[in-house]
Amino acid sequence: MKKKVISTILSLCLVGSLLCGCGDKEVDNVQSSDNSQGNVTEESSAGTNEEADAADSNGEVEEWEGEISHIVLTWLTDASDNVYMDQIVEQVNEISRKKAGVEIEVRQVTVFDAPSAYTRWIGGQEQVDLMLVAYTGISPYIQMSMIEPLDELIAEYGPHIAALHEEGKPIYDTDPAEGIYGLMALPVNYGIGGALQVYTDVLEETELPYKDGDRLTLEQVDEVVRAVYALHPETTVGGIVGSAPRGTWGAVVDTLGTSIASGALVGVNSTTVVNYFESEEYQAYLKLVRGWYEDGIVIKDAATIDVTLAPSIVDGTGRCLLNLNDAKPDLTENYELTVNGRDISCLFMTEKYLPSPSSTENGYWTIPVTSGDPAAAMRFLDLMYSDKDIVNLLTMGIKDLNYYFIDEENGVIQYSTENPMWAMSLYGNNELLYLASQNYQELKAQNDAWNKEALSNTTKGYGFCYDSSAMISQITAIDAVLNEYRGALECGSVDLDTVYPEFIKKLKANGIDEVIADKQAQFNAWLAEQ
Amino acid sequence: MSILTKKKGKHIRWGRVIMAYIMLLPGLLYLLINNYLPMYGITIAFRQLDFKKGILKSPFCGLKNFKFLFVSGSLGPIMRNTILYNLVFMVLGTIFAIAVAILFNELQNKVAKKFYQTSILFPYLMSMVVVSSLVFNFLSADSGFINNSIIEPLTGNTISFYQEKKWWPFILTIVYLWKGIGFSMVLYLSTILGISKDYYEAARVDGATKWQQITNITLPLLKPMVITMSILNISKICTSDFGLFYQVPRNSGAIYSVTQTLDTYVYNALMNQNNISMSSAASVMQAFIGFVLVIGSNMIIRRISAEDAIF
Repeated sequence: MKKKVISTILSLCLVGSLLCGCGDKEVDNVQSSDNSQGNVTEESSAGTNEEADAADSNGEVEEWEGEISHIVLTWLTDASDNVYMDQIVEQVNEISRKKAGVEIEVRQVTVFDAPSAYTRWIGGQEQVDLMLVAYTGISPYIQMSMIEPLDELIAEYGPHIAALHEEGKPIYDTDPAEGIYGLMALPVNYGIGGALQVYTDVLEETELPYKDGDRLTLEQVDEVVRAVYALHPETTVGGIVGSAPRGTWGAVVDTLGTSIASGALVGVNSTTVVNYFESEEYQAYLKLVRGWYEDGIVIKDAATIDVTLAPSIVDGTGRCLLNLNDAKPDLTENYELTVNGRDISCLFMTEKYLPSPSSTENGYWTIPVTSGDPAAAMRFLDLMYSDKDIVNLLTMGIKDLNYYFIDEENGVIQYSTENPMWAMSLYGNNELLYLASQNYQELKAQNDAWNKEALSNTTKGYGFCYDSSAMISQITAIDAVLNEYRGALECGSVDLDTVYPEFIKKLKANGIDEVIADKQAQFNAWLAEQ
Repeated sequence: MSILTKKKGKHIRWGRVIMAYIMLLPGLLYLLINNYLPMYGITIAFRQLDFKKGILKSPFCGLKNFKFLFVSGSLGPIMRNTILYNLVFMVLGTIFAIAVAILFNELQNKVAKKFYQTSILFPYLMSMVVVSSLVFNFLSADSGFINNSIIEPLTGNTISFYQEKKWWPFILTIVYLWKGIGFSMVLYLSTILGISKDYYEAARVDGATKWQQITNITLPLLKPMVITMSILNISKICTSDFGLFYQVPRNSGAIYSVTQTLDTYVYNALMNQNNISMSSAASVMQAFIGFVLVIGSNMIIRRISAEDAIF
């Protein structure tokens, strides 16, 4: 009997504790929202000088007086979760509650898992209010009605976003038929310009008449590479490793907002969509790299080495004296004009130009259909494009913990040892980010010059985004062909005479011409409206 | 009288098995939740998915989602690779696993037995990513062991294994056997250990050699196990070990025509698309072919030897 009583009591305790578990969460939520409202009143009456300054610097913002909305924001990581996230969210919320009446909750997910996680979350009707779609196409999300159109929300709640658009920043991802669906994470610098980067002392050693900033033809690039190789036979061309596509650095290519699988404009003034892989520019690039491969300048395993990003000019082994890359100045990382105390020269292979933005190369902020409060989501999004503190909190972390100021006036910082370098620089307007460089003045000037040149040299397709929904089967099949051939061809690892014709034949068999015709028709219609 | 006995018999049997059924219940529930409930998702393969409307209200679009598999001529080589590799793996995997299991059975030294068993099972426990690095360290054209220590000193040239198709059917088969044999060997070894020693004793008395004992006792008694394993494998003939076909060849495009299987093709094609209707379509096709093959092979086995068929 005693045993029975004890076991009954124990079971009741167990059930009770389970129920407590359920109850606690609700209580917590209520508490947190109570607190949050408390904070608003408390802070609105106190308000530190610093915050007031920040508010001033970001334009006159009235303090939010209505109800505080709770939104869920996705935060992409490279591998592991950001351990400082709770502190960051706390500080972000302090600002966003006051300025936009929003408090955020962050859902961390790795950039690799994000696409499947998004489908799962939205399919499972889970609340996600702001979703960052990065490095993949945005059109499947539109086609499957996973995200909301943003036009009306921007008009009502996104004045800063609309202003950035007015300034001519490539911020909107526009589906030609249905309107705006994504907002691009604005980079520090716009546009593209392919270049060969060489240590200046090595370039001088070759006694060739080229200097930093020169425009070179592919033959001249070949001349430099071979001259460096002759002097330093241990060198290899950085940038030509891994399976990441790199065959477009030698030409002006605009893929019109989607992947290159659907054709591209070649040249700044072109209005004809072509199969880039059939172009003379691409063939010339392939010949160049094949020559390097045959002569041992490109490593034999280049196509299968696990490097998805181009390595920096020094790969740690000292083998890369040359690097083929997009040569934008980089203000967000500890990138200097010199590497290991040696100056670098950029020999450009193309002009600096601005193609139509594409979500496959960047990140787009979207509002999913499972958003609990799209208006609140847009209000927070507007802060991400206008509030310096929010952008820096989300990207750089916490002041005096993850970074400290070197020059607060000019917004120059140094990362602390507590900085895990997690930032993907995709949280709103990166122009508002602090600079993490000692040479910021020189780099800033270089960056401004770059932006000016790129923004003034837009392609004819700039502003157009191809709607690929009718051709999705073909594009998927073409993508598979590109995956099969591009890596090996663009690293020079395979024989051009046999493999290249096979590649082109397979592209055609998979319907690339049909897709190009469709893209051209849409583009013509868009051009006629301009 | 006869009715009474029947009733009594039935009653007694039910009483005995009721506990077994209760014990079966969690497993059945698991199967139902994990394997049967998600099957309603098959419908995704035939719909133009619209998250606003939900899965069941999205409009049907016929076989449109399957189209990307058939657009080009690539489906032929892909299916050939998928099915032929699986057949080769099935045949060689079974032969080698049985051979090794028999050898193990003959080992008398217990320490040696444990040592060999652990070492042969060890690769099975390794992640394919690790295996991929090991293989790369062997085959790399710049720094690989085979090129640096064998081929280059002998011939003066190197072989770019990752760019040349002809090596890969062998490399993949060797890697598969090296990695997987430890596990399948254990299954056969457990069956062999279950064979009564009396048979072997009787055979020895009759003067049978070791080889005769193997061919006349061990192999025939292993037959049901081989058939069960084969049917299970046939059901998976359209699926492939993603790690083996994606990680080990390092996704090298130049050798796709001999390394690409349906799984890696779908992954490569849809990596940038996040289109779950199309990936469902590929899965449905795999499942359908697997289903037809299982039913088909079971039917054939039933014709040949009815007692060995699974159902």
